[in-house]
Amino acid sequence: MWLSPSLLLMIISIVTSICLVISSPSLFISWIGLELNTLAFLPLLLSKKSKLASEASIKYFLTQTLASVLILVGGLWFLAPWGGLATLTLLLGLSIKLGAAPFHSWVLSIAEASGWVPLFALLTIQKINPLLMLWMFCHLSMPFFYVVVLSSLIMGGLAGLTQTSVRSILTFSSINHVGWLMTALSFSLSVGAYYFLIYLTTLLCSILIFHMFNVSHINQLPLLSFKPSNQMLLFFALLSLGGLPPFLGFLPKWMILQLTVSYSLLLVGGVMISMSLVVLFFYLRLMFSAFMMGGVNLTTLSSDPLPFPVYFVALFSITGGGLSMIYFL
Amino acid sequence: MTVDKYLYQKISFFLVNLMFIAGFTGVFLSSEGTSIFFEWFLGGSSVNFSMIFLLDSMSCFFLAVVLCISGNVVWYSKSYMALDPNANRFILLVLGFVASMAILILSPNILSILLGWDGLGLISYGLVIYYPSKKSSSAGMITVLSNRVGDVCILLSIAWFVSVGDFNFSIWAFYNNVEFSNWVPLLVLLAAMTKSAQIPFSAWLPAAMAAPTPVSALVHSSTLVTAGVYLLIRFSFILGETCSALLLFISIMTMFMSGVVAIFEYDLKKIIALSTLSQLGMMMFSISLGLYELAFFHLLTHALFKALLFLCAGILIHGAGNTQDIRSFGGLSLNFPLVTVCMNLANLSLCGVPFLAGFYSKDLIVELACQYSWGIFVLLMMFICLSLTVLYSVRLTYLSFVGPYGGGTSISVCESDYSLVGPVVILSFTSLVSGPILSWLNFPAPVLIFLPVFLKWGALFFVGVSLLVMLSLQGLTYSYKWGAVSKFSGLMWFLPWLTGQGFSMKTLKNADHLLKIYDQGWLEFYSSKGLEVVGGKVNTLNLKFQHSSLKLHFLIFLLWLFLCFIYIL
Repeated sequence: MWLSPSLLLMIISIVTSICLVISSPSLFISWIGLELNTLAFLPLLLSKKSKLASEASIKYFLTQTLASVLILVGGLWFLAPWGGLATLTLLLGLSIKLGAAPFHSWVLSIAEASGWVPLFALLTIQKINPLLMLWMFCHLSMPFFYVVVLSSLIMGGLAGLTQTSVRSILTFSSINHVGWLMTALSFSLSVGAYYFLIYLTTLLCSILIFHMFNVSHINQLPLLSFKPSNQMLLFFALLSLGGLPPFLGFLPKWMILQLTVSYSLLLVGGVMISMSLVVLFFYLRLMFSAFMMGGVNLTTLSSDPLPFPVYFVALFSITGGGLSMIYFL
Repeated sequence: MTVDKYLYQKISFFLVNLMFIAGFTGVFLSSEGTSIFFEWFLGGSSVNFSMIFLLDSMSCFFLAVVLCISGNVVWYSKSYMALDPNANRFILLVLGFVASMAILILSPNILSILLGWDGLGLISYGLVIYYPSKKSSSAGMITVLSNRVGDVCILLSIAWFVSVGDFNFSIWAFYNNVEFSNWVPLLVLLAAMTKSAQIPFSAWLPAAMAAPTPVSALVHSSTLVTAGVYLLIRFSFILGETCSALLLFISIMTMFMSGVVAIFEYDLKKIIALSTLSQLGMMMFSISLGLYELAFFHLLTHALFKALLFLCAGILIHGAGNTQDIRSFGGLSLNFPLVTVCMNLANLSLCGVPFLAGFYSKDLIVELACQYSWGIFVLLMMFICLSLTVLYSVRLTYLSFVGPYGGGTSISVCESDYSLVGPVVILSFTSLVSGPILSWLNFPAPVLIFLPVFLKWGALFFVGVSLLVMLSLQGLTYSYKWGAVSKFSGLMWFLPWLTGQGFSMKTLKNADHLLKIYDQGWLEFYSSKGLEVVGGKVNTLNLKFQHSSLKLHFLIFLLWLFLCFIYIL
């Protein structure tokens, strides 16, 4: 399915749109890149033929259009006498595109309806464009930026506690990660890019495993008969995603925390730490329900081994920390 | 259980060899007047971390005495513990004890002292609960918890040592201007008081007699309990006037209390434990007067004859049908002539009869205390405690060896067992010669003492008079006539109740109440449970926003936009 020519075209379009945004000299060209991205992502959402998926794609389209309108208006307002409103409107539009916290509600309904691969794209690749534009136009010195960061951190942490669907949990954790990403980008592009890449690999690992075993609800986890090595893999991948110290996910968080402290942004730093604790807690709860509670062994046959790339990704997402430490030495 | 037949002899041989090494090193060091530091620097920048061993005459002599007693005790327990199924555990615990004692003695570093100190507490607990019974379990609990107070004090003083930058406290003795907090001496004093069972913490020492008798000989009478005294001697350079005055009062109280209680006690081992307590009080007394070397001297001699006393008591208990009640003894000198001789030697030594081991140390302490004239109260109490020692020792001897046959069920003769009698004889010889030898080694020049004649004879007078009094009272055989006094003393002045059940009963009741009202009541209702309810409501609201129509999402977005504009304009 993934090798069908139309989907390949769409994927190439998405990559093109990212290149366009990265290399664009003007806001208008960036906006064209955003539009291209939206249009190219819709077929990916529709790759699963169902009522929910079509509804989700319509929702996605409408939301993105609204955001694009805001961005375009914000861009035009740079020329207007009330230029002070321009960055704010831009920020609002970009936040809607990112799914940052006060504007996160659309992400969930789409995430629930989409398959694992579109979800992964939605949570990671689709965020590259707005994040880049955010880096260009907005900064932590803006009060509303602050509000978005803090509310993403808090909302992602606390609202994720009550979820029982794996997709929702990952979505809320990604909302939390958006808060981290926005903070990182307001310091420097390289820290943000670093955070994003590591988030991408760690999320890729766990989503691949969920995809292989076709899990979408917490209750399903104890019923799966994992091999102990696969259990370990998922366990470590989720801990890495949550940012527990020996794993890779902790490294960028550490960098950002150090930066926040050195810029004496103590409120943001404190909220980051406490909320990452909450995020870690709901990952742990996911894993406890999977492995610790003495799951019911319904199937006597052990499941198929995971394909080799999963092991590769897992290895990097878990232990890449050592490698990147070498890079930093 | 497969145990090497000669395991005990081998260990004993090993320990005795170590004793000779330690002893000769001590003699060498004291004759040279030097001490040796081994320091292994581990790291640290503002605080110096290093592993230090200090070999001086004091540590070497103490180590030699510990090894001597432990060697003999291991040999003795071969026969004593022969029928015990868990003898392996026993021997391991004894070795662990020797190791932690060695760490404690040899290191002048407060960190490694904590290591040895904690090890001692743990092992002493393991030994007290060695016999699986409810009584020894509760005795072990009071032992370990009392010692825990001291551990905490040492930990706190470690925290204070961080502020001066080096955990090695012996080097601070060379600096006069180091500002130590007032807390450090107090904390060290408190730690020493728990280990040496001074008065608020004395309940554990008689309770610890639930351990096997060889253990009582090695651990709870001669060596472990003197660790507190040793610590204070090592810390003598920071003990100020306040601490000394406090210690003076406490040690005299302990001496007096244990002496009186021992007179009304019927458990053989508890009597000896209480006599240990009074001798510990004596050592603390001499420390509080600033006579550190004398305290150390008394520590060594006392360790030897007290171990001997316990080993003899062990033979009596073994022989007299496994009973510890001295009312069922009596007239045992006919059955155990050799043990009688050795035990009397130890007892008279304890009393301070001239030219036995205890005399050399005790007499010096008493005479120096007289010479420095510490006030009539202190002197009077000291002499009363001296005579109390004699009273309970003579009572013990009378009731077990001289008095009428007490009706014990079966009396068997154990004196043919060489592994029981051998250590006793060796220790008798050692404690006999230890007094003069140690005094020659420790005090190359005689101590100069000026005293009026009546004070000079005072100690001997009190010893002699109380000996006669107790003999004429026939060992206080009819002490039930004493009624309330007997009851009061038999319960050890209510100390076990005050520091044990009495204290914990009230607090546990209150804690139970608090638990019910707060932890499982209001706090639960308003914090975790309330949070859950409120959180659930908030979440329901949140879910409505998330999963309903797109119109609502967009309305929210526009609302935010509106709010932002208002904020900006």
